[in-house]
Amino acid sequence: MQNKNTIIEIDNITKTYGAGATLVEAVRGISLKIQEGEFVAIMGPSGSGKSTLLHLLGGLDQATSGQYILDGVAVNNMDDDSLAEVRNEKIGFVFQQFNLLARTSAIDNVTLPLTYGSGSKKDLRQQAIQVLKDVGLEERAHHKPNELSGGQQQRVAIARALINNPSIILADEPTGNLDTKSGDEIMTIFDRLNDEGKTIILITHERYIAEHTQRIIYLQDGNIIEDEATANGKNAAKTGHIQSGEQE
Amino acid sequence: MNVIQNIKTALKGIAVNKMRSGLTMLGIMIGVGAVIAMVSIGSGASSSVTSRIQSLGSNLLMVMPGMGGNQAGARQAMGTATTLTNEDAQAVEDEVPTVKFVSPQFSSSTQVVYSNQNINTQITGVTSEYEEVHNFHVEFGQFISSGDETGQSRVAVLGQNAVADLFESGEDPISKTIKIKNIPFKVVGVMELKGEAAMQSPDDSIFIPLSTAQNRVFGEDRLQSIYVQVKNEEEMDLASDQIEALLLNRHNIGDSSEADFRIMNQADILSTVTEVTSTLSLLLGGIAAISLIVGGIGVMNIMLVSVTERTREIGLRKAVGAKSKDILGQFLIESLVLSLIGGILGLILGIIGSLILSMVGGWPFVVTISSVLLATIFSAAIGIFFGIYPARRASRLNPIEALRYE
Repeated sequence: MQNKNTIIEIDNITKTYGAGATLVEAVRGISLKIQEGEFVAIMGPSGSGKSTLLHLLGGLDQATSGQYILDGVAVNNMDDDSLAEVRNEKIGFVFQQFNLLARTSAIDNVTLPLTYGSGSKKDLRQQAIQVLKDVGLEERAHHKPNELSGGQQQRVAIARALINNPSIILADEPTGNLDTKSGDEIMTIFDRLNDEGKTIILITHERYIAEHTQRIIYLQDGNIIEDEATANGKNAAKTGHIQSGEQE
Repeated sequence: MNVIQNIKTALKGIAVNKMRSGLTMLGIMIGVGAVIAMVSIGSGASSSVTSRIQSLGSNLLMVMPGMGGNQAGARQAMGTATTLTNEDAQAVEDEVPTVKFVSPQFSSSTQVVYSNQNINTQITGVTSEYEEVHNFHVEFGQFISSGDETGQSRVAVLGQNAVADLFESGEDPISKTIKIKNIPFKVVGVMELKGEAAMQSPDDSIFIPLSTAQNRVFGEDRLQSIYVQVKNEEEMDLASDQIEALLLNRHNIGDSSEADFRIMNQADILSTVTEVTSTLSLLLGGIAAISLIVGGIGVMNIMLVSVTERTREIGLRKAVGAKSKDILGQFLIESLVLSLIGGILGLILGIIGSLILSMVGGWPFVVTISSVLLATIFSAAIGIFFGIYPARRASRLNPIEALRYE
């Protein structure tokens, strides 16, 4: 692992929907670099293009124009199947709505990305138990989503995002549907994952959630209006945390 | 995503919506059941008819009363008209040189009592020629003699089923007295076992002298049929023409198209039965085709509902790396599993149905491997054909829009 490795690099990226009178410019030429091991929050009013940006970063959507290099690979010209592979191998998604499969046990939810991967299909459950242990839910492995609290469901979703050992975790308002206590638990997990070297990008409306990160990017009308380091980020820079990326 | 996981997912989905899935399967079930029954009836009935023809011999003519020229009308009313008489039968025997034996008969159902047993069965009035003409012989005792016929004797010969119904097992029916319509008859013989038959088994019948049946039991002087055995097989057409001319003359009918009787040979009977069974097969085939199409539309409908319901799930699967072909495979397998389960249930239904039909119809129960394979492959094909559109729709969903779907 190289120091200061740029994992995400987007250059003048735009995204427009519709055409003619109904044309919506969701993202209007954003350029951004994110280093490996960074913990970034994206903030901004609704309609500012946060979600669209996150979808573009996660390979769920293709930019209308501009360049996107993810982990050294140009993503902006990929076809759908290649993008699916990228999502499967490099990205873990966490959603506001958890999006767990109903009537499916936690462990089966967690193994889902592995079933679509190209890797070995052996020991799926072993691996799932391991990541569930990481989020403190190994005892609930066989519970179904409707038997779990919101916080627990979100932890299952995080375990699912981790199972393929992706380099980047993208979270779209992961605490938006949770009470403060559960939200804090989730953020504690994110903090630890970042300490372990994961790159994490999350969208939030809450300042105190954003304070967990090292860098806050403000969006408005599809543009970055501010990009600042938080207190954490300044500290981290001082202690060399970002550079090492492997520090416990 | 491998096939086994897809099948598990599909089964789970089906189990969760039992009612919905069950109703969807019903269409496929009925269709496949009809296919199985159709093939079974077709082959069972035709093999039964063929074996009957073979056991009867090919030199047999059958004269039936009719209503006149219209064939379809005549078939409807066959046996109900009162145009054939004992004298007609006698004249055929006496005046047609190509004829060897004539067996006139009259039969009707009525109450038969022995001891405390009381059954309703077919009483057939016959002459001594019946045995020879129908190639159906006495096993114990003796058959009705020409003396019994002229004397209007109260003697009876029982078919095997009639024996089983009236007497306890091991009891010897010979010389016992049974009551037919309250008239006592002495049992003089028991017929051999004839086995299956298309309509009414002769094993159920009780045979009594024709004159006794007409005069003492039923009070009718008409005949239901005259079976004629022709001396020589090559003379069948000649004999048929001669009998027709004689009877037209006797009934004072000038135009043969207005004849009040019908003469059929075994080939005619065979073609009639084949016509009936093929019509039945066609009918069942129609039901099968319509039901399979309707069932297929049902499968498609329910798959579209399932795709819509699970839009978010599809979005999520795509987000975590499912490719279009994974989603396509998942939904295709689900519709395949749905229609295959329906097909297998239909197979069971069809086998039970044709078993019952073969028992009622008295023909052998036939289920061929080819019909089972046909039904299975057909239901699978329906699942795939009608599953493709919903599955393609699912696989083409945009992951972001799918995830946002409420």
